[in-house]
Amino acid sequence: MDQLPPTGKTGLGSRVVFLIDESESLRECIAGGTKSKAESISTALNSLLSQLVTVADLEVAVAGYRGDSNGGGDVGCRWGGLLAGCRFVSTAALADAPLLVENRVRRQGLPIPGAQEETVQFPIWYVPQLGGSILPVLGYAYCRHLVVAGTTPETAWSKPPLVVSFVDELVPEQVEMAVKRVLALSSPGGPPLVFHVHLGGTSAGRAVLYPSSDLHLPPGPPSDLFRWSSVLPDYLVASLRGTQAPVGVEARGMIYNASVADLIRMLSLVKVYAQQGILDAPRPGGQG
Amino acid sequence: MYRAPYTQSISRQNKACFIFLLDQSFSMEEPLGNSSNRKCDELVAAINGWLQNMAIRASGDEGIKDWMDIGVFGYRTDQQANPIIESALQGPLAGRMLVSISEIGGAPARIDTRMQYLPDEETGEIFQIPCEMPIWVDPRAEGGTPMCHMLYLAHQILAGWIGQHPRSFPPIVVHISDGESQDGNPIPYADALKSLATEDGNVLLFNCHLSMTAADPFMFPSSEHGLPDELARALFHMSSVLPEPFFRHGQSEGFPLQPNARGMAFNADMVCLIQFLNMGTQAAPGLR
Repeated sequence: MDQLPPTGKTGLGSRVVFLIDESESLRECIAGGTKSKAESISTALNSLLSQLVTVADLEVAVAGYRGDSNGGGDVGCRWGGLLAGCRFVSTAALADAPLLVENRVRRQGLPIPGAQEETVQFPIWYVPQLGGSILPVLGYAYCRHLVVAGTTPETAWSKPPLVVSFVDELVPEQVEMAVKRVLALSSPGGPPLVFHVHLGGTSAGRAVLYPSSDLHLPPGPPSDLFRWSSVLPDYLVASLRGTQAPVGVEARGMIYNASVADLIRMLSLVKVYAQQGILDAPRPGGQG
Repeated sequence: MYRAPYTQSISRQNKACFIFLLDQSFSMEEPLGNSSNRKCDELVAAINGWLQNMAIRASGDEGIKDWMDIGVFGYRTDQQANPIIESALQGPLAGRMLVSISEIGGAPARIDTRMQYLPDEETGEIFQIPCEMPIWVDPRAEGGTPMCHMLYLAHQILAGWIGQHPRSFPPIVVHISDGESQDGNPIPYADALKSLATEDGNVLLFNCHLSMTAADPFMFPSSEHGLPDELARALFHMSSVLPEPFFRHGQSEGFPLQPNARGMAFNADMVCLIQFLNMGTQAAPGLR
């Protein structure tokens, strides 16, 4: 099943793929936080999905890659429950099909006695299941397959597809060609935007956020990630600068050794991307 | 017994000394690269933040430990182009040349309230809380850039301090400017400052150039090669080579340092400025 039945919403043709490295190394505690990297990704992603349900109509795929117990690889979309087997799911369809809904406590101040707290319903679509390491090349190959499948004639005025890739174990072997094959795809809106998220751990060094060059990145895989990350479109640069984030000319969609706060901010760009799609959509009658 | 230079532990008996030399010329009105804020605003935000962090770090059960002396100086000219070189500290400490960290911690000019953005790990959201921000230094931007006068005063002050603390870790001077000296060639003045020494090593002079353009920064270069202009090369010659503890600290922070890297940043934005301040002041023994 590629897609749930249409919901009657307009559908913008914008598609986002979240590609997640689900190797065991994600059990490490995230920089600047108290939870594991896997939990942090899950919470930030589920939070984003629930926000997208209310603000945008786009199509989303959540894909992961991990090693299985037979020494092979498990690569595929990670929807469950009513969405099991789907690849792209519209945000409208997401609203009706969370895997579960938890009660969580929203902080409204520092965690000190007397601080205000609020219990909120927190829908969950993605639950991380970690496995062994496999070459990310398999994940990118699957991602390419998704992007190709998601490019249809009716997306003629859409923006480029967006791929947000969460990487942990930086294994350069064969990845370059696989990423380049994703970046080289064409769509009516242009080649895909590929952003990379690398999270810092307990002993993480300095974070590098949205770099304009690889000058301050360690050589090797971190610099490779820079080369494989797309330049941020102007509207995303403007959004970041609006939050006081220093973003240079030709900044890339990449965060390295990032903290939990950096992760949440990075994912907020997807919301901006989605809303930009609404602004860019042609008006009725074909004008604009 | 021989002890390697720049290894003296910082304590009440062997205090450290940090001096900040802040360009307060008119061009500091311009926005800092990758930011919508003025250079002078970003600069004092970084300095006030550094002072607060140091006061917190020095505090213990017995109050704030008296383990370092700090000077914060501004330099500019008046309408007749006469140099104005003075302490930039405001409030109860106004006019003081060197002040102990315990005095700093106990006597900010005022307390401002700023919004702080923190991640909520339960809901994947960013929330805002007001936080108190002690202020010791206010922004200023007027007149020219009498850099040589500033370096000369720093020499006088440190010569006196070293006479009283001959065994201490050598003083660290952090000079932050956005342009060329307008009162002569600053290199001889910088050399004179760097020639001062305690038994543990020579005075360290680190230079940070702030830019209003969003050009790629140069941080900790090891040679003149590739530096963009004469100003950058002058700052390179003015800057100390990073001693071994600083070099190792920088590498552990992920900076791709080459041998003979100098304590210099060029075209720095806010992120670089804070990294530079931390890098230049946290590698001394006992401060990490």
